[in-house]
Amino acid sequence: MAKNIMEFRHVEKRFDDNVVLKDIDFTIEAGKFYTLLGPSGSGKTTILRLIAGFDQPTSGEILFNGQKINNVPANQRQVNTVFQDYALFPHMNVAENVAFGLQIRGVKKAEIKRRVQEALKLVQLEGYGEREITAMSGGQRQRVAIARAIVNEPQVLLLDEALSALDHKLRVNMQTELRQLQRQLGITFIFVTHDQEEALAMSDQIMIINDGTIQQTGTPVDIYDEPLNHFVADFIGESNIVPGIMKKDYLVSINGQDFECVDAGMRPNERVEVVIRPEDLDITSVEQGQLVGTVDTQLFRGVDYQIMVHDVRGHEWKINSIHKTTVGAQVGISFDPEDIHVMRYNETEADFDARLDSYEEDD
Amino acid sequence: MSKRHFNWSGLYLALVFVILYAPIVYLVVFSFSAGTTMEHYHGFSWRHYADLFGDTRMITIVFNTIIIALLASLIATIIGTLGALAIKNTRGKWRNSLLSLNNVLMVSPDVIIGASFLIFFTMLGIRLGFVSVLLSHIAFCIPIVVLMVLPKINELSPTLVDAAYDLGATRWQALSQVVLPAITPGIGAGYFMALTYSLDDFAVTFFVTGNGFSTLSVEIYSRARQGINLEINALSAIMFLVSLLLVLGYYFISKHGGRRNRIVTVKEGDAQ
Repeated sequence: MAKNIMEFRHVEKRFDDNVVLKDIDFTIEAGKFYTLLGPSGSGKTTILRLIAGFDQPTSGEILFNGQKINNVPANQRQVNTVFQDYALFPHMNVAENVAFGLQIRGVKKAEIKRRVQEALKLVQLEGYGEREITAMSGGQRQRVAIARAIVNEPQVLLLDEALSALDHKLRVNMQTELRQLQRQLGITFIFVTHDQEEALAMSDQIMIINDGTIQQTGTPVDIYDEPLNHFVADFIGESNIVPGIMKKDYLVSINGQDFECVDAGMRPNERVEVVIRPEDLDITSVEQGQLVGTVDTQLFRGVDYQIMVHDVRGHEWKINSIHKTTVGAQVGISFDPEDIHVMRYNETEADFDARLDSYEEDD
Repeated sequence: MSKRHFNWSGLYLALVFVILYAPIVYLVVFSFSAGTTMEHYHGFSWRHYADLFGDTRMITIVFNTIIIALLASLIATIIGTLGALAIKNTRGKWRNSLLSLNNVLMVSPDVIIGASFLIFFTMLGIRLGFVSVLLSHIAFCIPIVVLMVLPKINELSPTLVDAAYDLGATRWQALSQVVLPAITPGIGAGYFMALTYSLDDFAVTFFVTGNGFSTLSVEIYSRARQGINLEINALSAIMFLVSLLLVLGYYFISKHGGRRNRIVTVKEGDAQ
């Protein structure tokens, strides 16, 4: 059982009259990779700044190893940050930048040297110590910023949109490296991003944040397969979200047509939203399809085709398929009961979890 | 086909430089004249230089001027840098108001500033002399330093200070080890600008020098009123040479010396 290293209890943050965070409640377990995922302005960076100690919460408690740290200043917290713009000190070379934290804490020179070299080795920048920051590329600066943070052996490493300034290929490489680094060091990473791919690829736990509240917390698979509400379903991955009516347990009606599903625990005839991921929809012949429609457009995207089909009731379906089809053709769309995910309107995360538990035990 | 176009822009540039430098060259040439007027050249002589080095009053005034300039620009740099940091940390409309107050001092005529200092010092009963000149030089140098340092501070990433705190630095350590070193080029530029402004200031100084104290510009002005003395030419020639060497030295340092290859543009031309 991993121990809790950090906890937020009913944390609220206002700037003047502007409420940025509302009643934020979560616990962070030691040694895991967490991602705070949300659109810009959702409050995710504010949470990071509260953890780092750059801002203080308006109300609520922040606990670190069981101690309240609301008023502990940033320079006394065992937390280090990798900033979005890296915030490297321009007048120092790479090694001086990495050594800064140790030097401030009065670590002996020989030890500083050893630990700086170790940290540079970890981020694969061995031998770059004497380089000027201006002589480093974006990806290299990123690594210097990471080395500068981890050299202090923090208990929690915060990363604020740390990869967003890199080009796509470098970013994907860094995702793998960050994940490896986190496993190697065994320290808690809290990563802030608006990029859902990044979040899904790296995290043990994702917290989806919108409008100053946590929408849903869970593993990448949980969140992808069982989004709590419209926002999460739409924000994570691609999706078809259509209104429906929950006739009874395990039976949902979409546009008047009944489909078997694997969801339960709702009132009979409750109005719900239905999510079907585009990659779960298959194109078949008209006879075999549960829905029938006409292909509107087809977009080749490298890994797959994105096909838009409108069914006979006029609803648009987004389908991702590795097989080509023909624009204008009549096709059938098929899917399995497991591919359907039903969401209730305004359900809280606690209720959602309880409902899932209640009927999954019956199975 | 190979007929070359006449280089008008080259000619224009040459003309500008001739007009700018001709008076100085004229002045320097006559500093070596054996005569006592600038009407005719009387053959080469060092006599005006000998006169100059024998003139203890003039030498004292040269040193006074240099001491005032060094002290005033040093103190103005300290105050101006802290002021720029404070302006940067001020939020909202106050920041613009502070900056405007700073800029008003830059554009208001020296005569007005000089006159107001005179009234101010007499009102407070401060004796006109070294202290009054030093204080007024510090005062008009501060806005220059603020203007030179502020852009450097604005260039700094706002997360830089956060990063320093994050790595355990106190407020003082963040300032002394991160912010100040990062804006050093701006501070240096501000210091040199303040130095040149202080060295060649006439209007403000004219009002606040008392009986026993004078600076070069004021002294040269009062001597010139009594008729041309070629000793002044000799002094001007030496100062021109010194500022030329300073500019060359600065150019050399910024080109080859700086470890970080950071080049600051400083207008050195004013110092003569």
